[in-house]
Amino acid sequence: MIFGLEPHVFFAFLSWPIIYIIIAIIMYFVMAKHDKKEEAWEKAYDEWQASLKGEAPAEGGEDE
Amino acid sequence: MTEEKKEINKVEIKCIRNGFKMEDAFQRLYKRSKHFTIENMDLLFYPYLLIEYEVKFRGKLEKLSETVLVLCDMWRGQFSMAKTAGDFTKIQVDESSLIPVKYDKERAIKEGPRTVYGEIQAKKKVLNIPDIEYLYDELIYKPFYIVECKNDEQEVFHILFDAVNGDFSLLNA
Amino acid sequence: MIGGGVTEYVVLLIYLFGMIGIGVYWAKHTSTSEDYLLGGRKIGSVLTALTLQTTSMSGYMFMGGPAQSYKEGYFTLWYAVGDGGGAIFNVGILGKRMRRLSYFLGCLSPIEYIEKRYPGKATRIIAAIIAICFVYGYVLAQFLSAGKTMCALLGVPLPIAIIIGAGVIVFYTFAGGYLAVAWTDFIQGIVMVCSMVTIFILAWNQVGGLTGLNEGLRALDPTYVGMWGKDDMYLGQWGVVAGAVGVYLIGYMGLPHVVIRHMAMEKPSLAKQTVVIATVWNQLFIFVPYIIGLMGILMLPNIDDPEMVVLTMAYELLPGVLAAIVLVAIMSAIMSTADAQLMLMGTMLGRDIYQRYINKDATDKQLMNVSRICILAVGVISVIIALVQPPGVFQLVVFSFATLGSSFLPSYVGAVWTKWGNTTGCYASMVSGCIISIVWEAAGLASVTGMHTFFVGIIVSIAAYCIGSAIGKPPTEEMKDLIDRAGCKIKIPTGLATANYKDIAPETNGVLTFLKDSTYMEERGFQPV
Repeated sequence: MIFGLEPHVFFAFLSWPIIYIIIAIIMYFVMAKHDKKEEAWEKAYDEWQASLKGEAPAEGGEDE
Repeated sequence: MTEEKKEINKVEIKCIRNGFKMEDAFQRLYKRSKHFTIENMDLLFYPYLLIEYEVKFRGKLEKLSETVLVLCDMWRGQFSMAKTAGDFTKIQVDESSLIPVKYDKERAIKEGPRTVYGEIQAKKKVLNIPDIEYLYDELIYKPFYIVECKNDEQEVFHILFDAVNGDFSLLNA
Repeated sequence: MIGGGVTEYVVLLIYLFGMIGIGVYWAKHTSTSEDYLLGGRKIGSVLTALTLQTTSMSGYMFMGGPAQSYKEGYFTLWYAVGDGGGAIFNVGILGKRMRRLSYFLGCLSPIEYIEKRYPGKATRIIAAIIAICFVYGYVLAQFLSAGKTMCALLGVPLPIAIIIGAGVIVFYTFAGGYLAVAWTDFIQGIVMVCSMVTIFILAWNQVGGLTGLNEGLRALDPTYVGMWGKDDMYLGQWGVVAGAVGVYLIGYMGLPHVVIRHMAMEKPSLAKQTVVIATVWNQLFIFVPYIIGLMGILMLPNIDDPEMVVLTMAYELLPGVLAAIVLVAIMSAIMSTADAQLMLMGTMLGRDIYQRYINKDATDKQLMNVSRICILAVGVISVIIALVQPPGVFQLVVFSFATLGSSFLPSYVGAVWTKWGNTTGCYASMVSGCIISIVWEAAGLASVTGMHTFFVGIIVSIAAYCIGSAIGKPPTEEMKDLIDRAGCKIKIPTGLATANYKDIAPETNGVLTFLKDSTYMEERGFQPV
């Protein structure tokens, strides 16, 4: 018996809070790792977008 | 590119004058992004049939006569209307740099008016069908640059650069 | 009647005026319609986490949960098992990507988001009708339970109790919009957990801890502490267990009024804090009410109405003022659910119906006014229905939850995680998910088949989404690009593909086919395309 419950009943119902907190903490670090990549990506993306805006669009047929 | 082949297969074509020479294209591409290098670049000519038609309206109040230009993409058989004939030049080019004409010329001339009808109906809301008469046609080419680039990770990618107006897009996106 | 003394009135008044104060404060600080509808996308991680969860929990957690475990024993904890992990799924799967995609698509309401991701003439109208009907089911249920709580505790007649409760909910939703909702949710969340945990600790001591509780229950009836409910009533019914766990584990991802919180997140990177805060919060809060229900079996064996178990225990265990605060906590749970849903209905009726079908050029100010009028109207209609012919509260909540979840979950998840999910799939899953839930519930098939309504609804809805998407037209290239962008999957150096792409595209395709079939590249020393 665990806390007066049969082990399978205890694990089926009451082990989850611990499991979920552990999963959430692992997810935090996994997501933090992703965030770093994504932030670098977003920065590069913004730079690229800015470089596009800085460029004057060419009107067709500039004669030689 | 091989000099030898160029010598053997030179042909004269009528081509839309290119507003962007190779150096201009270089500059324009580098201005957009610094995260790549240009490894190779060459011209490619895209075939179009420029067809001129005369359109005659016979409305109740007005009689109109107008000439229109239709461009037929001779590689894929797609039609579009052209605003002006444009500025052409005759040049000698390597035959292998031409995309071949795959579409039948007679068929293009016959089918061109359909595009004109569509355009007139959409733009001018004219319901009666105008008479459309064929005037003349001419095979012309539009110049493009094929540009081979490498990004920061040394991955190769290709850009199609429109040598007439400087638009470009990724080829293998 | 349990309460009805002066203390209850004083505590309740202080609380209500506090909430009204927050509403007025934010009304003065709300300027543009983006502020009103989504709190200007400035909700930080703690607030996102807490509002996400308090929004999801209603009076059901104070009344329905404990009442059910009081009746059925440990089996009811399957719902808590699902609920405890809900945030991990909800924020982890949808959070960041949905925040980005909704930003790229420029949408403020969860229905607008569906429509832009799945463009089609009928998208908005189907989504809006389902959402308005079943979110309304929720709103009505909250108004009813708020009224019942007030009536039981303050000793006022039900009609007056309903009008007071509804009035306050409508007022601060109406006055301050989402910011008011978010901030009052935050405060309500704190009050809720403190109250619950206080009762829990006191009751824990009385029953002799977890071991004492379980041994006591076993002595009364061993099936209370078994896996399959009192008298083994669900023995071997895994379809019911799967539905009970799944409905809260994944069901939140289909609830428009919950997923709207992702769209309001200040930065996508806040999602990770949200997962942790929300999950820890859930473990504190979600299991507790069910266990209090179990404790009630020992402490209050002869209670008339199991739904009153938490309230009665509060009065048994706490001095008058603290008991009154628990009452307020219950009201606050109900209100936080109700005002978020009222807010959503304001958004849907304003943006999705008024701006879309009535006045396309509505200014920010007009839109805000329309949303406010709609919120007021919904409140008034709810009060009228609650007074004239009140339906059962808990059936309404469970049914609305299962139907919304089944109708929208595949579309919300598929929106950011698949590039093949398309309009046909969205239509198919919304319509089939909604219809199957209604039919299953109306025909009472859950008890006949041993399959939970949500379990069946979600399977049918996911299948319909996949089949519909396989048949229908795939999303446009632009949409696929945006989905990639929401997942940060676009290669930047290849960003030389410019805005000119569209003009040149026909020739690009032509050139590509030519280059692939010719020796052009090879002759000139290019690498193949």
